[in-house]
Amino acid sequence: MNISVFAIVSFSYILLLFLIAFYTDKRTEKGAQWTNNPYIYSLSLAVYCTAWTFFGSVGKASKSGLGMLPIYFGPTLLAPLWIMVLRKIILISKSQRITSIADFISSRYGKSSILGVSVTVVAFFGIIPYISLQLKAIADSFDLLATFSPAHQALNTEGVSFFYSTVFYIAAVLAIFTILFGTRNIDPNERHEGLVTAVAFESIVKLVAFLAVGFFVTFGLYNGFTDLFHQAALNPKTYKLLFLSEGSTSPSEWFWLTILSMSAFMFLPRQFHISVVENINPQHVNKAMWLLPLYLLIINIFVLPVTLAGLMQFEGMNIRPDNFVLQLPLANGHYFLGLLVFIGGLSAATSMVIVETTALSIMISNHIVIPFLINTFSAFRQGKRDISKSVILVRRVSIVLIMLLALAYVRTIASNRELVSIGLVSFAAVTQFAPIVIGGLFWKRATRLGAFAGLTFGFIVWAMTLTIPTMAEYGLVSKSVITEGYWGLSFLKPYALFGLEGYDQISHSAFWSLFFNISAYVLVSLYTKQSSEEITQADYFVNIYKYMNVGNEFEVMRRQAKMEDLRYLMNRFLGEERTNILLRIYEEENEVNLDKTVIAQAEIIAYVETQLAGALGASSAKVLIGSVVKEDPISLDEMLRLLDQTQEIIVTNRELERKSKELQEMAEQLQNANNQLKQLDTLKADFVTTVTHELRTPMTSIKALSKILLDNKDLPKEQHDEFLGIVVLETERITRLINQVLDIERLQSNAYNWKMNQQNLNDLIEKAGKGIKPICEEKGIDCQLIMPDFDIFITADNDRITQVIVNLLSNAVKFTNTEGGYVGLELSKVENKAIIKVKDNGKGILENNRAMIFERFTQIDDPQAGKPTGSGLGLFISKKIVEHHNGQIYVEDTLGGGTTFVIKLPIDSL
Amino acid sequence: MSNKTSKLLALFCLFAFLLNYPIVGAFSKSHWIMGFPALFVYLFVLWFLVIASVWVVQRQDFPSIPNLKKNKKK
Repeated sequence: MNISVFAIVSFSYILLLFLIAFYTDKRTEKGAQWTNNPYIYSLSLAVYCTAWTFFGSVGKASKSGLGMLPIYFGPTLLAPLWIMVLRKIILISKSQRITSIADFISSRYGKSSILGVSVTVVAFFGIIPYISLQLKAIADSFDLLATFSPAHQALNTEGVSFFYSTVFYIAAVLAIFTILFGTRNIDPNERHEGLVTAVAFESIVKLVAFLAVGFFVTFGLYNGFTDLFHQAALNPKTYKLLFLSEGSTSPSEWFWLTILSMSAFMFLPRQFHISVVENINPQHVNKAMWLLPLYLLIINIFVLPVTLAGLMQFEGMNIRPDNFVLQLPLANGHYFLGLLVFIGGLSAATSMVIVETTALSIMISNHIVIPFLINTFSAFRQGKRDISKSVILVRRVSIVLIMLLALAYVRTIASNRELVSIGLVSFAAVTQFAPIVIGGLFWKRATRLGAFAGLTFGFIVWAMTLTIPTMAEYGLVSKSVITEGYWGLSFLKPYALFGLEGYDQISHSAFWSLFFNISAYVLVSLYTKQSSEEITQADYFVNIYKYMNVGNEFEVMRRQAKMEDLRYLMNRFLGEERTNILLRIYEEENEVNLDKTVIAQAEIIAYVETQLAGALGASSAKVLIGSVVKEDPISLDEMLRLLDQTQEIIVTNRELERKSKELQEMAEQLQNANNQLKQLDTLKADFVTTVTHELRTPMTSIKALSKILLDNKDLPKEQHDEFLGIVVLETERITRLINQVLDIERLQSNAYNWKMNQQNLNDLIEKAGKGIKPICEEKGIDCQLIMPDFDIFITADNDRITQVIVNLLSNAVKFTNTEGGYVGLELSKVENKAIIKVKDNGKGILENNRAMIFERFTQIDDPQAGKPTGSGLGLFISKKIVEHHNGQIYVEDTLGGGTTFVIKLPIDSL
Repeated sequence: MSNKTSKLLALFCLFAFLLNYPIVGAFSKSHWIMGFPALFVYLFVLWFLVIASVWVVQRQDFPSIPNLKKNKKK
């Protein structure tokens, strides 16, 4: 197969990317929203898998077996925390128009320009090797294809390769792609739909390609996984890779790889760009949380099989494991598969290069070049030219510059190193952002100086322990640095800082750089003060959800500016067309007419600043706005008070709302209570009247009869006894009445001393029945107690329940005809309730009287029977007692006349 | 912190321990499970479990994000 075919195919592939990106951009302009879905978002996040994953994983696995997996466990483990961290970052970034990781850190710490510069510098030095790594991967695969011929087994990848010139062309094409689709215009949203779609497409290509080679190796060259593993187990060289044996990934390396990959996934400029800046809807995070880890899992399944197969197939040959993926199909004569793998590697490399370069160029232009131009040349602040074109130009130049530097790096240093080690150096660099970003999200007290100190210390230690010794290995710095330590100080040996030996370079560097980074960050933050701008931003970042709810209603600065000046600024940096659109949006949202506004107030100024920040970064926007705005800066004390006030106002508002609700409820309750009291008052009055009336009746007869007895001493004995009998009965009636009134009083005032004990209800009823029996017999009434054949236990006051039952029974006896009369008591159990039914076949109670009889002094008048005997308090008291036992009492329908009283009482659960 | 966030945080803690030494080391022995090296099976099964449990938890609806603009002062 001719090498020129590969060259043509690769350029055609990149051309296809152009078409996809171009078509998407065109469609987006017409309002299509196909990038607005969680699947495209998840796929574009897979830009994490670069050529390093595609080729380098096998290289790393050939040394440490599954020890390369922590690089993917990091993002996987982090995924559940995206809700807490990533979504918060997205929300903040959307509302502040943040366009890069540098912008994010700079904004958090009071829109600090020095931090923006520092982050950009760290990212720049950290990432350039990483980009060249991708170009190197493309170069290597070209190289391999060129020198490959099945007869020519021993391959030599060393030496000068003319195919690096092909890489130069590829880099040039990629630069053009990035320029076209990554710097399309100055958009405050900094979104590039075409670019994202192309990246998502590339994620599919690299996955398919890797799976294809995985299937080919596992099921084509071997009979599936088990066969491959079985054969690998027979070879001592591959056997040790099946486990984490000696010389493989150590526990500390495993741990630090996980940490580094977590940070890298969040804070690599390209990851931040895709996950935050290009994010269209924060809800997409929910699906990406499991989709992205799933993608990582699938692309890694075949890494170990391919490694083992490569080591077995090419045993004794000088073939670099990084090339196994491509070499396995080629060596077996599958050129078409080889071509597919090559395209897969190309897609992994190009997607990374495109996004990383875009993100870096935004950082370089917004945090280094533009601020420099604005601060240095007053023409930039006040000139008349439309600057938005210059901003784009700056970005394009940065892209070309980044590409050239990466190419230079490929040619010199990168040509001999393994892919993975270069990538990990970049990971370690961006891990320096982790403390100040995470701290900035959750720790309000963190200051700008603290962040600067942390970042600086972390970066210096990173450079001392990873970059400089690498340079020494290539002879760029004196080698004595590695053996003797910096400046000949033995405790400053780059691979054994402060005597820490026995760790691999990456763990060693990660540990020390994070140690100094975090310590400096925390300590300096604790001992420095925040400026007013820092306090506002810190509060906004940490409490973003608070602002989501109430809006940013307070303005820190009392600022004023001429509307004309603001419009002018926007025109220059955003272009006239965009300015008009943005201002119209503002007018519509706030229902104002900006054409009539002469002096712009704080709110408009903040809006304009945010829009400018989207195009130029927060710190540049701050400087520009500062040049046209009359500021009346607020003192720190005032500032703090304002912040407290907003917090207070929110709290107070909520408190007020709650209070007023409470008050309303209370008013209702009072109204109810009042009504009840009124009712009670009437009742009481009635009660007193009735009681006195009830007392007077027997008193009258006692008085009359006693008088007769007193006056007529010679009454016949019979009559004398009869009268005395009546007096005794009436006295008893009075006593009973008084007792009942006292009962009621005690029941109502809750003063009654209840003696609640466990009672055998069967015994209790039988005893009560015995008391009533003689009366029944006397009246000739048939009395029956129907008891269940098991005992029922309730917790009750024995005397009181007896009282209720006796009361019901005696009522029944009282209202039952003498002849053929029947009174029955039936005890039963339904579910967890004891049911006591007292039946009689007396004259019954009319349905509309049934509820009434449980009221005080209710006596059913019956024209035929005349006034009934009794006080009318018995049932009332019974009801109170039953209710106290959490029971019910009511009258039930009885077939064929008569009355049935039912009592339900809860049974003790045994 | 919402209920769901707490659950996700718990998942993170659990799997952070399970996918690290010393547990990973314990599986790094010459054991075979149905023709696969034990370590291979352990790591990929656990990996899959992370994904599955995140999927299960995230299916419950998150409270929607309040819109900044709507709440802006008129």
